Amino acid sequence: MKLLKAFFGLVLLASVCYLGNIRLAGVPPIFKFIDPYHGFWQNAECLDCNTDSVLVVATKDAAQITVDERGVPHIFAQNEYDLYFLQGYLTAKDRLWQMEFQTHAAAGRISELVGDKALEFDLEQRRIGMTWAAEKALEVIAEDSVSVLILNAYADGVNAWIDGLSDQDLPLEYKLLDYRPESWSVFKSALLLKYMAKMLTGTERDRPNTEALKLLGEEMFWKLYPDQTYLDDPIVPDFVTGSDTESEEKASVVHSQTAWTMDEIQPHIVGSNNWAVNGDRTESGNAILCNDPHLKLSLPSIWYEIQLSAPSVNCYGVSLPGSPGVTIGFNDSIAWGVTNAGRDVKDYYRLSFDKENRYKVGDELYDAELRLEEVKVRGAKTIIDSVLYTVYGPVAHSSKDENLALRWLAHDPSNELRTFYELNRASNFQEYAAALSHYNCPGQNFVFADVNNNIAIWQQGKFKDKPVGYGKFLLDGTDPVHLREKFIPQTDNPHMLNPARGFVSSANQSAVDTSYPYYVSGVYEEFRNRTINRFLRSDSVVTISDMQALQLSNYNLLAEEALPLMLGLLDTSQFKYAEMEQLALTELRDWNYSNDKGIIAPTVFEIWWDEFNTLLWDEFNKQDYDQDMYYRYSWEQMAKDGKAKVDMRDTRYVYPMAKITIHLLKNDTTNIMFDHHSSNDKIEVARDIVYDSFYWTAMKFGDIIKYKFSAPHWGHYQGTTVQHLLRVDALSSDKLFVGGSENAPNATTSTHGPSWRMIVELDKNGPKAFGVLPGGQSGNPGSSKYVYSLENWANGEYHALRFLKKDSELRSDWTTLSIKPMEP
Amino acid sequence: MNLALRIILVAVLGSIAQFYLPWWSAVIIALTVEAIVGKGNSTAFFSGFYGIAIPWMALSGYIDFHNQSILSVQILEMFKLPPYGFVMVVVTGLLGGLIGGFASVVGSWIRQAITKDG
Repeated sequence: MKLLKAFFGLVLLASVCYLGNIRLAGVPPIFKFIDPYHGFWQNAECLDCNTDSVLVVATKDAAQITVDERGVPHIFAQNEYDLYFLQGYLTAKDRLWQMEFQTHAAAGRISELVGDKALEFDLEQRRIGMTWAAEKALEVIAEDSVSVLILNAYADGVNAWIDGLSDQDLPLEYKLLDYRPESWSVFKSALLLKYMAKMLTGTERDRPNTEALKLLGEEMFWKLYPDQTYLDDPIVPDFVTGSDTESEEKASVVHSQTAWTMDEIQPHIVGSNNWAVNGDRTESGNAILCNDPHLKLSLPSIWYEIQLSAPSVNCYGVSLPGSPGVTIGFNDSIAWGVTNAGRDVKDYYRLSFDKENRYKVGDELYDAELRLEEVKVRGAKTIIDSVLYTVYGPVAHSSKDENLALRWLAHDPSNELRTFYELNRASNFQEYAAALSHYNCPGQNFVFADVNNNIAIWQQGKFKDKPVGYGKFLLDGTDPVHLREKFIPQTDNPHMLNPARGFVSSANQSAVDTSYPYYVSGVYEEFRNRTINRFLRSDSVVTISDMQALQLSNYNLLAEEALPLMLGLLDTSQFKYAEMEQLALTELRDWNYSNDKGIIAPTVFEIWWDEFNTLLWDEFNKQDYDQDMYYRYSWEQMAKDGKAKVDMRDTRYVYPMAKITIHLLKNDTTNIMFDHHSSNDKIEVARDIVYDSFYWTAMKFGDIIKYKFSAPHWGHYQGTTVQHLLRVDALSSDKLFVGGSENAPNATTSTHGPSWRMIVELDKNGPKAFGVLPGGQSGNPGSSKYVYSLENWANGEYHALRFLKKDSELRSDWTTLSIKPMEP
Repeated sequence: MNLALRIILVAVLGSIAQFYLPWWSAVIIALTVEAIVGKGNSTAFFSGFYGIAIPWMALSGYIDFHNQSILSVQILEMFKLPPYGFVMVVVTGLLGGLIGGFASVVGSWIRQAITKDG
């Protein structure tokens, strides 16, 4: 009896221990996780410990690292191998989980970690050929000994860190999900660059355009989705190319019959600002360069700040964890920054396959290559997906009766890393231009300034020389005309050096005007860019603080252009809910068009603009759309996130650009698009839609005030969130009180925003630089550096960036790491 | 061996073991101590409970103090618990204590099963 009790007791104890040691139903292994010797407690950094230390690693020579009070490492190495080894080592120390997770995401391997909820995402990565693209990039990289050296050094550094990790030192996320890091490889760095390429080339509209054309017919389609119609402030006006080539071949247009089931097109642009002002226009007489790339706000911060110094190089800036070198930054002589070009570099070709996976292009029969993609799924069976590869690229979308092969310029072999390697060392315009010549994808606007008062901008990427209208719709892949590809020569990419106006700028608008001899297409920004240029044109002498004010400007040019028209059409005699309507109206009338955090008017305007567009473009809303259902917005949802918004858009379509809406409001108030297609008895005009949408705005605004779903002030209503990559709320920072608008230079929305703000003045005696991250240097939620700068960022404050010298005096709140090479 | 000494034995041996081995090494020690030098009576639970709870609370409390609860409040939020660092320290001690206490009880059952004086 006693024996039996002891036996069952032992079995029960062993079972509890076993269950407490594995991850169950999404809950971390409870005892393993809470164990203070190995679990999460070990990630809680000691805030008052002195961490000066000596490190013995496999470098070639000794090196010195200073870590400043924000956790920025300043590496002083004696050779390039050591420099990139240490960059890899320190990046892994602070960001290992993030760098591996992002490369897993690129490769479509998230299901391995989180189970089948990521399966759709993973399959999409496989179908668009992310690993295939990275493999092709590796082939070119292998031919360049410099790239091979730095990538291997970086990988060695990351692996040196991983090899020294014991269980208790694993980053928190590994403990939450209960897995271990793999070794790093050059391939993973290549994957990371494709991850960025995917993030920044979501600007194709092939499918939505094809669907909209079907819905609207030719005439209305071209009115609402014109090419190159509004070109008021291009990045490079009147650009003259070296060789004028005319494209004569006519594209064939396919009207796709089936709806897509896969990925959703990004409705918003992932945008950025950069500009440089000539020294003749600055108070100090030095050129000033500014850059703020807008990305999804996430934690750990997307950028890792670093200073890289060796005899051949000395630069400072932000790097992408997983990739060696500095991506945006400066050195003693120059500064550079990037914004997204927004050009369309993805085309889709319709093909049909026989049972042997053969397809026809012209008269020729081709064999598609079958690539099997093995997707491991945690807690479930491994899934094998087969992807067909054609002369155009992988078949990214396939359904019963439609197969679309993707031609994506990120698939072309290229070595973007080399560009950044050279930019880090460049000292003048010629070296900058030479560095850019290696750069293919994603297309970027590279801004430049140097200490000799030169400024420049260059839209760089590999772009197809396309006939007019090409790639606007899904294409017929069986037409052999598509196999003859031409590319725009690199020197014909829009660029300018030292324009007379004394500044260069870009904010994702179209790069060129109609004088450019090539056809360009893409998704372009409409407002931010003009606000920036308006400021840079008007202010004759600028200072660093002017530049800060411009980066932080919440001026909403869309509101300036649209609101007076809307108010002009608003018939106040119709007011049905007069108290709230009057209140909303008063707010709007007194507004200066700035989406500042502490005022109410932007909240009213943004709700109204959404309502107005939803009603105006109801043709593009979901089929089951009806007005009553739409306005029964979910109160539960509203109580949760404070937003009175129900997205009714049919994901097959994208609304026309805001400027089209403004054009209709101004010049075409009886356009048939204003008619509400669910009301049969009446033909609505602009005036009706303006009032109806205003009425519902007042209703929602009233609810916000009455039921206190959120404070009505813009900063509260917008409720910007910086989300952890795993979407765990506890590790995210939500409901930040910040202003901004996607149409303002400070392009902060509820989810996106400036992921790095940088201002550099190119003084001959050393650059004066300022910057701030919406987060911090450390990827560890248990570190004070995890969100070190978030509050500064939210308040519009900058840190002085410390461009240190090897013998710079150390501050008491800095730490040093002395690197000693391992004995061979 | 009296209870206080057994608690100290579990705590000391368990802490040493956990420097090198996973958390369950402390569970084995709590069980073994009670099986070998225990009294086989109702105090068994407390040797494992305190033997693990005290070092777990001490270590997590020390870490939490020097971390100013930065991490513990996030973990508490994750599990929908009140966001005060000491709560996490108490939860840590309690969980460690419960598994330790359970192990000691099983240890005493083993002792009862294999010895005559049990």
